[in-house]
Amino acid sequence: MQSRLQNVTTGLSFLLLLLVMGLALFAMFLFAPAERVQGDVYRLLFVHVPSAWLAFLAFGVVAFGSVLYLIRESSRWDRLAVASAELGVLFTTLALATGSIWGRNVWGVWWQWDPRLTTTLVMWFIYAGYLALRAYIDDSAIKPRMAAVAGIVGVLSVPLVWFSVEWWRSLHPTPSVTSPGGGLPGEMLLTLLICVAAFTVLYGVLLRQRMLLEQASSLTAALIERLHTRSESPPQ
Amino acid sequence: MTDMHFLFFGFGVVWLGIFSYLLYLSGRIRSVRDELRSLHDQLDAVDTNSQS
Repeated sequence: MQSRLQNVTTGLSFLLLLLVMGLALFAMFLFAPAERVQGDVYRLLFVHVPSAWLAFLAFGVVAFGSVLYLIRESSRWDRLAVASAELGVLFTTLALATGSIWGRNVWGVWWQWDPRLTTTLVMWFIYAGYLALRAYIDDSAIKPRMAAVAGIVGVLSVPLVWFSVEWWRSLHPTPSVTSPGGGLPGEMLLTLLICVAAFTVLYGVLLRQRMLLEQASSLTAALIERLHTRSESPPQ
Repeated sequence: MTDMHFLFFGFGVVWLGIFSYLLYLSGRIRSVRDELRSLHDQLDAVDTNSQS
C-alpha cells in the first residue's frame, strides 16, 4: 500500500515537473521580450538565478537536516542533508558556469576575482569538502555527526555570498527581484518567477529520488553486514 | 561568438549538468540493484547450506 502510494506520488511529481518545465521553457524563449542592451543573451538570467537560488536553498536544507540529526539522531535527517548537499554542489556549479558564460559576453572575461564570484567559489569548495568528508570517513557512527557539524558551519557561507555585493564593491549586479525600484520589467520578472518555481520543483523531485536511493543503499549495506556476521558466527 | 552562441552554450551547460546528475543517479541505482542481487544469491546459498 505504502509503495503504491509512493509510486503515485512519484508519478504525479514527475508530471508536475514536466508541466512547469514546459511552461518555463515557453516563458523564457517566447514570452519574455529581448533585453534592450544585451539582446537575447540576457535569457541566461532564467537559468542562472534559479540555479543560484537552489544552491542557497539546498545548503539551507543541509543545515536544517544537520541540526535535526544532532537533536533527534534519526538517519532520515542525515539522508536529507547528504542528498541536499549533492544537489547544492550541482546547482552551485551550474550557477558558476552560466555566470561565467554570461560574464564573458557582458564583461569580456570568463572569470573575475570579484567578491560575489569568489565567495560563491568558496561556498562550492565548502560543500564539495562536506561531500569529501562523508566519503573519507568509514565509521558509520561518527560520519553523520561530523557531517552534521560541517553542514551547520558551512551554511555561514550563504549570507556571505548573498551580502557580498553590498559589503564590497562588485561587478556583479545587486539582486534584481528584491532591490526596491531596481527590479525587472513585468514579463521578465514573471518569467524569472516561473523559472525559479520550475527549478524548485526539479530540486524537490531530485531530492526525493536521491533520499530514496540513500535509504535503499544503506539498507542493503546493513543487510550485507548482517548476513556476513551471521555466516561468520559459529552455529548454536 | 555571437549572443546566440553564448545563449546556446549556457543552456547546453545547464542541461548537460542536470542529465549528467541523472546518469550518476541511475548508475548508483544500478549498483544498489547489483548489491541486492548478490545479497539474494548469498541468502540462497545460506539456505542451501542449512538444509543440507
